[in-house]
Amino acid sequence: MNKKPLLLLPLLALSLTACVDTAETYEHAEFTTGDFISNRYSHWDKGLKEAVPATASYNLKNERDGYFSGVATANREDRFSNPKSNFGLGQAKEWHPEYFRHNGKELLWTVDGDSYASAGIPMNDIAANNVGEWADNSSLVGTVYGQTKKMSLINDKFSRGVLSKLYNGQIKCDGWGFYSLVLLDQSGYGTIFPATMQKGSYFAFSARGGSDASTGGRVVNFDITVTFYKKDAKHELFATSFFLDDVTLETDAGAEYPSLTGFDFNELGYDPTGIMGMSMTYSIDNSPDLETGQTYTPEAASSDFTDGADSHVGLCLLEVFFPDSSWA
Amino acid sequence: MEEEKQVVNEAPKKSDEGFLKRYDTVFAFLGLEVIALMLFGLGGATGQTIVKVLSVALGLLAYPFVKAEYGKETIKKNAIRLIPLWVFFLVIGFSAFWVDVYSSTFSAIVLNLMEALGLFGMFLLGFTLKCIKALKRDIILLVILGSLALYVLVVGIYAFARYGFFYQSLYAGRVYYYDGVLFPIDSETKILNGFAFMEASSHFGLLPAFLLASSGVGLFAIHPKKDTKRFLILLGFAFIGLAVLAFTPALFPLILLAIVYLFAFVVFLFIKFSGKGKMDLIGKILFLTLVGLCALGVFVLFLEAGAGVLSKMVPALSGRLSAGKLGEVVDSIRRTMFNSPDPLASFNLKTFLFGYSRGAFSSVFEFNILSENGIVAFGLLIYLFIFFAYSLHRFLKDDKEDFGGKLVLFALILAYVAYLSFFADELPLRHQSQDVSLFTTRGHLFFALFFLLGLTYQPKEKALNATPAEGAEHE
Repeated sequence: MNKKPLLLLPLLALSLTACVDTAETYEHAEFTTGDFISNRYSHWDKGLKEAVPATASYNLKNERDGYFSGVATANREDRFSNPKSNFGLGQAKEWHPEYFRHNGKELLWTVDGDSYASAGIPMNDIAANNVGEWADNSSLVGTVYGQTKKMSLINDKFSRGVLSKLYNGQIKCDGWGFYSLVLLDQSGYGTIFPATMQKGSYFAFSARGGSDASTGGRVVNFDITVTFYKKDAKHELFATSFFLDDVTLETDAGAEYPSLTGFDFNELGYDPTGIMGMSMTYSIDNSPDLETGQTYTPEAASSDFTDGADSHVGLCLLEVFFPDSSWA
Repeated sequence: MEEEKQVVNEAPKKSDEGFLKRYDTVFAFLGLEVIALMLFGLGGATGQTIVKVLSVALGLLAYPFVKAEYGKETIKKNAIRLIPLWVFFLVIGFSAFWVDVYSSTFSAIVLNLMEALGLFGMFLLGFTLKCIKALKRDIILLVILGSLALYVLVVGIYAFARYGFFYQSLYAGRVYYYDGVLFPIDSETKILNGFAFMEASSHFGLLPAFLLASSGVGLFAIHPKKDTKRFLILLGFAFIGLAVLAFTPALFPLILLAIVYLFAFVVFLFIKFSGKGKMDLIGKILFLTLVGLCALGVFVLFLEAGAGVLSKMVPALSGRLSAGKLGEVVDSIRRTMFNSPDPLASFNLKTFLFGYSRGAFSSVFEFNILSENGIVAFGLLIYLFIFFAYSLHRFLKDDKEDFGGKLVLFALILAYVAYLSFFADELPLRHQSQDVSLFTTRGHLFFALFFLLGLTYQPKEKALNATPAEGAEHE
C-alpha cells in the first residue's frame, strides 16, 4: 500500500483547524469612519432572529424591581434640562450599593469620582494611552467599576472580536470616539456569547445616545429591548425579552456622560443560568415627554439608519456587564 | 591574515587530565542542555534566569578544559583582549534605560546583573564547549539546530492553525479586534513565551525561522554524495525554517535570506580559495571598504541627528530622513544626544553616554543599543563587530576540515546580525503587558548569539597539541 498520501493527513488536519484568529477581520476603517450612520453595527448571529419567544417576557419601568438608570433620584427632575445629570451610576448605587464594593473598597465610575468633570475630559476609567492604542488597565481593577467588572476579566474569551469593545471595561468615550463604542440603530444587534453563563446576579450596560442631527444635544427616552437566549431541552434557542420603558440617556450633549442601566435577576425572578446570547434593539419614544415635551420625533431624527432621512439618532453602547458571573 | 603567535604554555598536569577524562561527557551534556534550553526559550523569564546562572557556573567550572586546550598564558592574553566585550556586557546591563525600566532599585541591580552575567556565561560556555575534545562540532550543531527547529515547528504549527497559510498576504491590510482595540493581522505572528503562546510582531516572531533557514549555507561545503547524511539533515533543518517563512509569507525576510546566502557564498569562496592569487588581498579590500562605508553611513546619520546637516545640504532628502526606517534611526540618535526629539534642545552628556531612559526604538538593533545604553555601548558594539569579524575569519580559515559545520555557525551569526539590522522590534508583544524579558536585546536569542560568538571565537594563539585522553573520543 502506498503510504505516502498519509503524510498529507497532518496538513489536512491543520488546514481544517486553521483560521480561528482570522475568522473575524475587518477593513481598518469599518465602524470608525467620519460618517455617523456608516458606523452602525447591525450584525445578528445566526439563529437568534429565529429563536422561539419564551412564555414569559418582562416589562420594566424605572423603579425598584424594575430597571435602574444612571440618573440619581436627587437629579431626576433635572434629567432633561441638565443632560449631565444622567451621567454615572445613579440609581444602581442607591438601590444596590453592594454592586459597587470590591474587597471592602468602593468602586468608582471614574477615578475622579461619580461626579462628572466640569472642565476637561476625565479619562480615568482606562489607563491613559493614545486613541485606539491598547493599554494595560490592570492597575484600575479594584478602583473603577468598568475595569473591575468587565467581561474580559471574567472570561478571556470575551477579549476577541469587534464586540470586545463592550467587554473591555471602557465605560465612556475618553476621546476615543467610535473606537470606544458600538453604534446601534433600531434594528439593534444580536450575539452568541463565546461561553455560557453558569451563574449571575444582574445585567447592566453603559450607554448614551448619539446623533448626526443639527438640533444640538438633548436628553432622549429610549425604549430598549434586551433579549437573552438559552437553549431548551431540544437544544433549540429560545428568547426571553426584557422591555425597558423610557430609558433616559443624554444624546449629543457630550460624549463623556453615559449612564449605567440594568436590572437585577433575583428581583425579577429570572434565572440567568444558561444564557448563551443576547440582543438589543430600541425605539425612540415617539410621544413627547410629559414633563418637558422633549423628544426626538422620527421627523427630527430617525432611529432607522437605512431610511435615507436627513438625520438620525442612535444608541451608543459602550459596555455590557454581567458582573460577578461565571461562564464556561 | 594575522600570524598566530606562539605562546609558551605549560603542559596539562596529571590531575587535570584525570578531571578532563572523568568529566568531559558530563560537561558536554550539561552544556548542550543549557544551550538547548536557551535556544528553545524554555520557561520564559524564570526559566531563562536559571539557564543563565547555569551557563555561568558551567563556563567557570569547565575552566580545566580551556586550560588544557590553550594554556594559562593564552587564556590570560585573551581575557585581556576581550575586555571590550566584558565592558560591553556591563554597560548594556546597567545603562540608564535598564535601570529605569524596573520599579525598584533592588530589582534593577539584581536583574540587570543577571543579564550581564548571563551574557558573559553564554559566551564562556560557547568557548568552553569548543575546548571539550570529546564533544564533536556536529553534535553541538545538531543540538543548536534541533532546538531551533523544535521551537520553529511548535510555534509555526500553532500560528498556521490559528491564522491559516499565507495569512499575511490573504489578510493584508485587515485588522482584528482584541480588548476593543484594532490590531493589524498581517504584521503579527505567534510566539512561545514561557509556556504560553502570545501574539507578537511578525518580525520578532520569525527570527528563529530565519536563523534556521540560514543554516542551509553550510550545504555549500557539504558534498551531497560523499556526505549524504549530513547533507540531508542540514537540508531538513533549513527547509523547516524556509517553509515557515514561505507559508507566512514573509516577503522581506525571504529577500534578506537570499542576500545572506549570497554574502555567505562570497565568503565561502574567499575562504576556500584563500592563499591563491590575490584572493586574500581582494577580500581584505572588500571587507575594509564595507567597514568604511558603514562607518561613513553612521557618521552621516549622527550629523543629521545632531545638526540636520544632510537635510540642509540636500533638501530633497529631508523627507526620507524624517520618516520610515531612517527617520526612526535619526530620531533615536537625536533623543540619545539631546534627551529630546527636538534637535534645538541642548546636548545632554548623560543620555549620550548612558542612554535615553525612555527608550527610542527603531528597526535597526544597533541603534536600539545606542538609545538604550549610550554611545559607549554603541562604540563597543562597532568595535566588537570588527573584532569578531576577524575572529570568524580565523575560525573559518583554520583547519578546513568540517568547513560545512563552521559555515553553519558563521551563517547563524551573520543571519542574526543581518535580520536585526533591518527588522528589529524591541517591544514585540501585541497586547499583553510588556514583559521586560521580551525586549529583543534581552531575549533568549540575544544570549544565544553570544554563545555562538564564544563557540566560534578563535584566539590568535594556536591551541596546545594536547594528547587526547584514552577513550575520550565518544559521542
